[in-house]
Amino acid sequence: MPFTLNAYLPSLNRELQIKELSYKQYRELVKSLYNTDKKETIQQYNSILKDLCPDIVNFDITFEDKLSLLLIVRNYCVSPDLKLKGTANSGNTFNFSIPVEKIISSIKTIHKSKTLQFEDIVVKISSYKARDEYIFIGNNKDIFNIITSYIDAIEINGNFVNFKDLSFEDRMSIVTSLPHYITSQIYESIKEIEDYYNKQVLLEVKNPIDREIALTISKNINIDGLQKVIEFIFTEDLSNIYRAFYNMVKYAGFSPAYIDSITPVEMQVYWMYYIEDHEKSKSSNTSSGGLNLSTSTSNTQLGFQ
Amino acid sequence: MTKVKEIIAALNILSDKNSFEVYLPLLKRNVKFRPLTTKQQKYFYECLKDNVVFNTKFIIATFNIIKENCVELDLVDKITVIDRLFILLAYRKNTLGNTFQIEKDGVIYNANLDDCLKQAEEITLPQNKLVAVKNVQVELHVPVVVDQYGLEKELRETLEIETFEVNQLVGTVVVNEICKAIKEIWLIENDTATPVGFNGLKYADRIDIIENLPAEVMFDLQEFVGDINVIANKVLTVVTESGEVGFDITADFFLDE
Repeated sequence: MPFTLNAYLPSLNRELQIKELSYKQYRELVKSLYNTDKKETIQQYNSILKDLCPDIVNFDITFEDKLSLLLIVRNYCVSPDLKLKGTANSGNTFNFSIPVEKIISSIKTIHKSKTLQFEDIVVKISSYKARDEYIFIGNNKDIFNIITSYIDAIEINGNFVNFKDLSFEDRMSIVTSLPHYITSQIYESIKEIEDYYNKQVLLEVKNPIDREIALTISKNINIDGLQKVIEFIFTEDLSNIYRAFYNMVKYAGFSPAYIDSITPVEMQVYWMYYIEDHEKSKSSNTSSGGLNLSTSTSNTQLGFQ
Repeated sequence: MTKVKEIIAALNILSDKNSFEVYLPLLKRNVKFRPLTTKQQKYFYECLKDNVVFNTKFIIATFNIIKENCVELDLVDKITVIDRLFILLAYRKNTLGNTFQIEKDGVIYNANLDDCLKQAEEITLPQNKLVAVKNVQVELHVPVVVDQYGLEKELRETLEIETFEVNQLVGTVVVNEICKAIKEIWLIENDTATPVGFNGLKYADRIDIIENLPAEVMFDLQEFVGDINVIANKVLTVVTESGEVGFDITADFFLDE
């Protein structure tokens, strides 16, 4: 049985199990961010999440849920710290670090779900659905798209429909058939919820020297916020990724299939053992002629020293 | 897909239940209209970029709304442009409430839609009129929304924005208004009146015919159209502390301030 981690879905207030992120999957997540086709990137991320957490197919997970799952695997399988490089107004760069656990704790406090009652119609809303992310690329302001994505279910005079089972087009056809005064009020509720979370901080990057705020991402996670945080937690120099893999296979002698199956953090542990052993054998071996191995991969994310 | 159809059917039943009444001067009675759906509200957003002289997209959108929402479907062909004004005012009241604001000369006035709507019972629509000059007889009627829609759809729906000379534009507007007001034209020869079947012609052809009518008949036609416009302007006028102020019904009349 594969090792699993506890993950939390804020929209449903429930826990579920998620598998560890393998090095192969981590490599795919990093590579996807280099893809200029944002839709492909979203599909790749959603596909890997389904592999890691098959239970999510039973739910219509939201942006907050998706971020929560990705942060968990990032925290336990890659690195517990998020290290960013910022540029101050003066042009100087600075380093910023925050424990991923802190962001996870912040996400857990986001509860946008609400039930709206109109005379003969009951509407349940939660947040933007992860599977609708591509709809909002380049346009996150279309009121009708926002309402359609937010709705979980509608009940009309005993007729209940769960939006989880419907395509975006089918959901939109139901929304556009609703009386205008109802969609108007749904949108007002959504605005109220978003304004509330807009005032709360999810991630704030400060210059440690002058405490100047370089970036703020609020708890109102829209497509820009979601994609920005994903970029932060999975951006890595691809050459580091390939170099680390190469070193493990060529020098440490592991099989490629095995390296692909373990987590990035486990790979780091093995590499540390290898370096320790290599250092020991170097100090006991006085003659030269041994392999002149690089001990650094400059991989900041993986913490390779 | 079945689930979607069931929900939409349930919404349509609800829509019928929530329909509201509008007094139409044509029939001198109330007619029920279903409330605006979200899809129909979207039409107004699509009209924000429109032909400023003819309001083509807005006329097409409002005709579709009237046609989709009128509970008595067989009435749609008869609804006049004056009835249309009361229908649109009632929709505005139903979606955004009774009060609205008008701006004139930099001053904002608050007005009530009820003040406009109550005029419906006081208005008497002009009777059909026959105008005969030389060998031509023209029957005039209060324009119907079907023709208002048809004219815009045929002549301007796909038009790109053009630049007109002012006098050319005025001429086009006048001929368009006359086209909508004509119900039928007869050619009289040897005391026999032959109808040209005006209503069955394409709008471009109707305009060609109008442009070839004797000049003498045009004055009567313009006078009749002028009478209709006086009624329409009266409907869209409110009394404020500064006197009477007129307003227009365009797409942003239906969008939340």
